[in-house]
Amino acid sequence: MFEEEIRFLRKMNKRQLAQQVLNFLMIISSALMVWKALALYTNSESPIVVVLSGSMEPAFYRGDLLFLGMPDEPLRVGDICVFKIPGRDVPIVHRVIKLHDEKESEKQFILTKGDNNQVDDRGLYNKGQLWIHREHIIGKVRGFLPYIGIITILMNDYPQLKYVLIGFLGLYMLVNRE
Amino acid sequence: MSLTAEAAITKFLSQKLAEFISQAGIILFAIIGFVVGFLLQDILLTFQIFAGGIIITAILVLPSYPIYNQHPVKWLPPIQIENKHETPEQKESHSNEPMK
Amino acid sequence: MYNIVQRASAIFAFAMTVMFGLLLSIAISSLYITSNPIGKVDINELNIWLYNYANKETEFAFIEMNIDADLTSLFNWNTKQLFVAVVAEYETELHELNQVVLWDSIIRSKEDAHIKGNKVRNEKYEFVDITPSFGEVNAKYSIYWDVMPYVGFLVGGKTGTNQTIPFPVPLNEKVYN
Repeated sequence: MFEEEIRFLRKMNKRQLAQQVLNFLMIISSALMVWKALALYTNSESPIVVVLSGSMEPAFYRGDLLFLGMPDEPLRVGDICVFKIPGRDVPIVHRVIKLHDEKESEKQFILTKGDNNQVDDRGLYNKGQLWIHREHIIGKVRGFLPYIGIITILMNDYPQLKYVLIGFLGLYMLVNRE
Repeated sequence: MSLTAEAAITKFLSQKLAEFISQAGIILFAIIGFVVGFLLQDILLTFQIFAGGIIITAILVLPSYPIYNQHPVKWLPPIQIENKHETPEQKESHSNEPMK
Repeated sequence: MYNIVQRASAIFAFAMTVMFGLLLSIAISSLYITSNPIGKVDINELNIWLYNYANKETEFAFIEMNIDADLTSLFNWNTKQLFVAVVAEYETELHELNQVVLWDSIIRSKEDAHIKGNKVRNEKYEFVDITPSFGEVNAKYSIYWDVMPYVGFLVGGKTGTNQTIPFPVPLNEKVYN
């Protein structure tokens, strides 16, 4: 099946090849544009995240896709939010179980817990940290789409798969005829 | 071969028919699934109907049934000039033909 | 549409597009299904004990309550589960709003959505203020829920109870180590 593709690549002249490459770049840049526009619209730096752990089961399973938004109003108990502890790479998706709004500074003191965990998240926070604050919050979970992110999970578990997939996609774009 | 010529031959009558059947079928089963699932309040049923619909559509369209061969393409007769590009072996096979 | 592989890939691509449309229709349609969840919490007992907590003498509140809620109407074709919690809300001198979860439950079927709990205690969650002592506090208790869909938007709500009980003085005067 590849012979045909190779013959097709040979047959193309420089101009056609350039056009295919440009097409490919255009797809990537429009995807990036959509992502950034979504980030602006939802006011969240990362508007779509994939669930990486089972700590929110049975609400979210590994590989589910979450859509985030950043509400203008303060967070409330029961909200499921994505937050990032300073010094850690991976954000966490958990539920707010305790919250104190300070009068003077209007600062929120938030404690979270995973539905599937027996204890609250103080063990996950930095040493000595009892609360998280608004600046740690990436977004509040607004929407849900199951299973779609499973490919990200696979790529996370088997990093080689990432390169195989990217290479295959790139090749497909190059030899794909409109 | 120019791009316009390629685009022109991709829309043969039978291909058009196959494309219509597949698209209409998939949309139809999605609508049926949605309505039935909503009325019976059963989301699993919606996706069972939709998946079944895709399989039925695939059975209708994927194999090359005779109905899709009712409008064969009439190619122009080969032009003689082409012969001078042929390799010697092909020429030989051509010249051998009358001898059979 | 030249050969069987191309036909199959065309069908697959089109089916995926239609499926996203279908998922979006399901997500939007379930926003328009009405529901009338009801629920209330009655507080039977409220005691405060002093314990050592992070090297500070801290007030722990212990609550016994009766929960009665009917959330069956929240179950529609796109409801995967409900998260239900009893939340205490109160105001203190330094903090204008404090919210603490006292009890929770995850409900996965319509049959279980009629919740009746007698003499429920806050065993899973400790009820402690951000400061060591509550002070003069009148808390309100409500039932919070959020609906987790199979696909689509997360919606939540709560029903309140206006019954308030002033926090009593601790039952022990100091912590003995």
